[in-house]
Amino acid sequence: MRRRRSFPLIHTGRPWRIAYWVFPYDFNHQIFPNPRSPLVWDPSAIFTYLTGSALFVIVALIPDFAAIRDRSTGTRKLIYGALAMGWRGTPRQWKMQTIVGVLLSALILPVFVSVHSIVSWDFAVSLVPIWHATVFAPYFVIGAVHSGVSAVLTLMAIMRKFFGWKNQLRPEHFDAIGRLLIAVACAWLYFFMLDVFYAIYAAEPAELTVMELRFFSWPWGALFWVVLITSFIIPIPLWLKRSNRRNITLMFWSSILVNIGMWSERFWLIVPGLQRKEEFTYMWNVYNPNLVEIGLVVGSVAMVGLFLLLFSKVCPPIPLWEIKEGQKFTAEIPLGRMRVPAIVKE
Amino acid sequence: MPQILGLFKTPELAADAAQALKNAGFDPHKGDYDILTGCPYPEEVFGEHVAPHRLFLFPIIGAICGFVAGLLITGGMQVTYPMITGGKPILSLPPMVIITYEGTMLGAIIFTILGTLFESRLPNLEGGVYDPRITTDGFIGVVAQGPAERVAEAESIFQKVGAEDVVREAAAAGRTS
Repeated sequence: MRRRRSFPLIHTGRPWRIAYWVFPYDFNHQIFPNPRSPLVWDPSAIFTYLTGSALFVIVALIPDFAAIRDRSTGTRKLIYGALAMGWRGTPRQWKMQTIVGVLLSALILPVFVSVHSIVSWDFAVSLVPIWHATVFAPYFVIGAVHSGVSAVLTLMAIMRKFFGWKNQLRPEHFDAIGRLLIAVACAWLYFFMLDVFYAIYAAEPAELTVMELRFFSWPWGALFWVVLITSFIIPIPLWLKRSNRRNITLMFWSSILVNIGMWSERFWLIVPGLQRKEEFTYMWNVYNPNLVEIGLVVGSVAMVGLFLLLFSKVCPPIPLWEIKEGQKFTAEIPLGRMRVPAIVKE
Repeated sequence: MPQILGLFKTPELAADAAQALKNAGFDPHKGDYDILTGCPYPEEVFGEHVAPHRLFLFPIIGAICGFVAGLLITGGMQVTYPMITGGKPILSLPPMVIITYEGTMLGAIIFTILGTLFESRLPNLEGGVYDPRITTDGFIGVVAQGPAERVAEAESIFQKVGAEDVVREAAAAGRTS
């Protein structure tokens, strides 16, 4: 998600032309806004997702900004004071904080689904062979969950190791995510196979030809096995065992495998469709990334790390108030005028 | 209106202080006293009163605004710049659904945030009596407000119940901002 956030402009192709789509800009050259184009759908979805996620993070951090304000002095106190907006921690403010967490989660989940569906439609509404399967939307959504949750697992393991968060990121969290990923990976494999079977059932010659290239020609055939082995065949049997799911090192490396596999899957899914047969030579014109494109990919990976580190430097990545809440209610306790059922943590 | 803050070490003491204020005629429904904590506690632990809120209305209003905006943008674009293709209708519904859906969700999210700030009474420009020990040391604050003589009465109640410290407004001014 972060990579997508940092790349909306590059994603749109020639970003200096955004003005043409958004504003009626250049009538003389017959340029006009056209909502039928996926190039309009995509920015609208990404903008919604970006705005919603950013606002969610900021509003959930208000109590923590207040906590930092109370511990700091000078300019830092001024900045965090402004971000805390005068938060005092009244029961009403806490109640709103709890409700907004539930409301925004419920609102952002359908946006997440729509964003990945719309990204898939960027491809699926075209006529390029192997890009226009009707199953693309849910396939992209489940692929995003598989790769996204695995990336979270990787980052959790790194933070636990380097930030020393052994009490906050515990083996049971890795266990729970591992169980979730088993279900997600099975669903992903189901859609993966559906995509292939749809092509076989439809039996379009162009589709079958590219499909054959994808499975049986170099380098796509090898990449297919990389995808299948790293995204499913190795990690899933590992995660079936509880002791493995609680082994942080194993979870870290298996999630790295899934990251590699899911990135390769997108490459395998999209790029072979760009191949063109040259009629007279019977040669295939294959896409080769140039240095700029390789730089963009490497840079995007580096930017994820950079943004994460910058965020961790100025904001608590795990909400402090939720940790405090968890520590307060570890068992059933007498509290004020009542005995309250405590929050039972796994 | 003058305010005073009593800092208590345990939720039990804070609840006792709140009850004592109530017995002395401080009305939580009128906002005569309130509780300040560094983390959320279950509702009514301190016998406090939280006035009804309308947060659930905000996403609905936002969604309606976003829906209308999305419809107007996509419909307006196509009507203003008609693309006539083989006798098909000028308004193409599937893309309208996509952008209108995103508009609806964006409106709902933005209004939810605005509603949260509004219902939380943020930004709190008036400040009010506060003490950083609420977040740093886990103290629970009970704030009482009213005329000077009522504030003095609240102070004696706090002392009697066993407050760790009592903070007057002048000493704490501007601490939350």
